[in-house]
Amino acid sequence: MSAQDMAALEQTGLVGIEVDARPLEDRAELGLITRLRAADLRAFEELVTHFERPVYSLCFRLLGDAEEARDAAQETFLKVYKGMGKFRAESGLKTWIYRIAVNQAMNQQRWWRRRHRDETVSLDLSRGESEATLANRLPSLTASPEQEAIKRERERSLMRALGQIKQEYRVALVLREIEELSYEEIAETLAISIGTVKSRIARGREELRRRVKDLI
Amino acid sequence: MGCKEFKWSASSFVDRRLDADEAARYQAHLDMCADCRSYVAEIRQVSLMLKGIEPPHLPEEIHTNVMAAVGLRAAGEVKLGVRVIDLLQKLNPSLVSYGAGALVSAMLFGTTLAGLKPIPAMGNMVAAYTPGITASDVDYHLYNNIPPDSGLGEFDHAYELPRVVDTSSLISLSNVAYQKPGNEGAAALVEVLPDGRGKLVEMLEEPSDPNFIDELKWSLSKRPFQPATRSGQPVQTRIVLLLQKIDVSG
Repeated sequence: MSAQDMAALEQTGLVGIEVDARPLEDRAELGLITRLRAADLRAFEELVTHFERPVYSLCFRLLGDAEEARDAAQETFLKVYKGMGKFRAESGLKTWIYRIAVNQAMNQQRWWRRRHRDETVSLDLSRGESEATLANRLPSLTASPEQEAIKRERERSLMRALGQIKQEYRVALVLREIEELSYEEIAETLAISIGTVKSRIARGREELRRRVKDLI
Repeated sequence: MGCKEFKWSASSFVDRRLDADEAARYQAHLDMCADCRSYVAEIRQVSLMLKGIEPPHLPEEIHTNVMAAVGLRAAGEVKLGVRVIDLLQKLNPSLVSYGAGALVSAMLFGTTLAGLKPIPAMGNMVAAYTPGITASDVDYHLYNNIPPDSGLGEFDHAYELPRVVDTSSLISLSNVAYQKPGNEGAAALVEVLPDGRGKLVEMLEEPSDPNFIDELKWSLSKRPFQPATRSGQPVQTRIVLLLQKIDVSG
């Protein structure tokens, strides 16, 4: 496709976003990284605003506890701030931050498990205060309270099962299904090959399928 | 390719990670295998269930806490301890963790040791002694049951009687004896050597606990005395050690 054809298509608005979105994102990210390296606090605040939700969500899904997830997310951002000088932009900013978050959550979980061997994810989830849980306390416009209760229970069972599968499978599944990362991004985040990503996701789904068979 | 292999590839098929040929072969297999069809449907269902999980409620304090901490760092107002930990963690986080663990262990060990105090001396009640008693030649000779020196006056020599050192093993021994239940009484003739050691010559009154004699011998071997002196020079003397205790408890 020639440049003229591209320009014509862009004018029609049919492919403009598709073609230009990535470079624009990259350019914006590069600009942000430059400002971060210059210790620009406003740039860091932009980064926190942009990533706090996914980072917290990731930590919450990996740890299964709201307080632990909050601590892990905060620690992640502090590590990002301290490590900005070491960031060489060889990987994407997002995958770099996710990698720090995963490592932080995993480290925290090791300690957490030692401290709370007898607690299970289900207990932790009851302290999770997900939006769904809060919303379900109010009457829903679309679903009956009974349906909402069933949905909530299914979600709880699913998360309990997710908390029981092997850690490395859980991380891969959370990144893929909940955080919606591509296989390539997961590979970059976890510093593993695409083949390993495929294998972990496949094994994770299989293990989870066996555990939640009654919910399917 | 059998059903087992097809099941293994189900996840990649669901995620469209198979190349065109593989995907076509896979689809052809699914069209004729109800078992694999059902399996793929279940894997897809698991994937959908995970995707449908509601996002957690984001705590507002994350933003505030992070920015506050970073603001402090930027302003250089980080506490010295935090800076040191940061620096150490840059060097080697594992070593820092081990070091911190060792430090905490050492502190706990030290605290435990500090709690182990020696049994307090109970003052003159237990082992009374009179420091710095001087005596005449006559006293010395009478005390030690030896004939007087010929040609010397009564005070030609300055004698000092032997003393029990106040932090000695004998003090501990008397404390141990005091803590035993019941009455306890013993008397022993002891030779105090110039180097401060004691030597049990004879038990004048046997204690009720026979182990006490062994304990006494051990205590005497630990130089519990300041020896007697004659004109400033340590000399050998004999003393009678008395232990008397009356239990008034109960």
